[in-house]
Amino acid sequence: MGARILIIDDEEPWRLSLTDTLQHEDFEVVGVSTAAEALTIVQNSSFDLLILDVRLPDRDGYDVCLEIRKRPAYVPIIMISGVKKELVDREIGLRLGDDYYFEKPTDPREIVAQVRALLRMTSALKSSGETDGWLEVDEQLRINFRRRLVTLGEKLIELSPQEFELLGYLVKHAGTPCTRDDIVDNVWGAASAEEVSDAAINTMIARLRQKIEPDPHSPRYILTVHRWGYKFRGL
Amino acid sequence: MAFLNQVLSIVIEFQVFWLIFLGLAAVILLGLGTGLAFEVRKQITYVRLLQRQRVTAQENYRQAIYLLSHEFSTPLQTILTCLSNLANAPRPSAEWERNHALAVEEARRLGKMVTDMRLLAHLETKGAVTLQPVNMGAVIKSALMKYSDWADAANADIQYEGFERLPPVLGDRSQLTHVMENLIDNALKYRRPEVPTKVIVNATVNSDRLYLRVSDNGRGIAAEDLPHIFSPTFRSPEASISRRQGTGLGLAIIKHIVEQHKGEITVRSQLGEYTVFSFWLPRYTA
Repeated sequence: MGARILIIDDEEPWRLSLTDTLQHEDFEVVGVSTAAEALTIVQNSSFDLLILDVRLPDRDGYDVCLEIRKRPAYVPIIMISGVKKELVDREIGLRLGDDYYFEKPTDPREIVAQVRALLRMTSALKSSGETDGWLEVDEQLRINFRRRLVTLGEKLIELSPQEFELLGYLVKHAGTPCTRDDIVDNVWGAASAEEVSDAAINTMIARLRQKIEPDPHSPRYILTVHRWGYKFRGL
Repeated sequence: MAFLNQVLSIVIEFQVFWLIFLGLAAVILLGLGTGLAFEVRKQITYVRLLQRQRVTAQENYRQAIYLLSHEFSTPLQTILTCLSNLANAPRPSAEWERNHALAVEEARRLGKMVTDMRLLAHLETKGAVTLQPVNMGAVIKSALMKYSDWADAANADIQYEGFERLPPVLGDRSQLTHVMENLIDNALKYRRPEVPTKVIVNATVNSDRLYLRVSDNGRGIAAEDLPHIFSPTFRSPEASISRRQGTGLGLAIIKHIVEQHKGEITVRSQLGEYTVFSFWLPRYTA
């Protein structure tokens, strides 16, 4: 049985068509059309992922998102909207802690890809069997974002704050190439990006590889993407 | 008679006639003046009313486009999803296959139009909303990376030739990304099959501006079309030839975004040889 997904959207034709799409991908899908129904159903059964419309007939989708985020168990949420008041909503959506946001119309394949990526990320987070935020990359490398710790096998790895930021950024985009400019933006910040050269980034990557790669010369975690930058291997 | 003569002589003697004349003239002039002033005021009010009505009409028009593009998006999303579901099911015939492919292509095109319409209406009414320091270097390289696979497959060469790192600009990252991606997309879309495609993105900096340039060796734009390409209704005759069709709103949106960011965009082109889009944005200093 695949993951359980809850779709909360009052547009029935769209909900039914998306249900078909996700069922074809072997997910178990439940659909509801109001915030009230959604909040009741998440009390009584558990879901692996929520697809939530911003505009619902009885309540704002953001409110529902906030309510669900108050619950102890983490469940990834994808927010959707056909009627979006402002582009600024995107910012609000992200601040509320939903994990992905898309506007209608979006290619259904992209939606499925995002669902899969989010589920993979969450299951990697849970796979250690602990609730304190260990991400198990493989049997060797484990990362704890909350406590900012990295272990390789039994060994605790010492990383500088900046090295941890760099590793964190790459891991959060695992499987996706990141340009050196993206790295600069997210580790140093866009405002001071101008002072950081490509060479400085390469040096820092080399240092990080020395610390976490079993063989820094043929890296298996931080891979070089020719011409563009680096990527963390897919989770 | 004698009485009349007496009155007349008094009038002449004391020049009351002039007084009456002046008085009458004053009354007439005052009347005229007031009437005129009233008329002018009426006209001004009328013109103002017309202006207000026009502004309101434009505003309503934009609002209507914005709302319509929103209203279209859910049914379109459903159609796209249904078409995608149909592709997962057994396919009955070649005819079905052909028609399905056409429907998907057209639904996607409609989707792009709706998205562009919404963005343009949004830009015209509200402008850039999330202003923060943006690293244009990251925007440029992400856009180039996005198109690199496609370019490799089409045997096109896309390159960045500019400063290694750029100073930030104050802006909306997703909108600036839209500008870069669409300029690169255009450069790849209107290429000449007889020459190897080359697209170069260039970025330079001076003390207060970032200068960006996207140049190609594609089909170019006719001199008579150049003044109109940024207008929302302009559509290159070449566009209908290409399979990678646009919506006709692309360049209008790009110009809007650049101007909202207090920059400026220009184009140079030679039909059958090259096109160069150049724009600048003000540097951000904290």
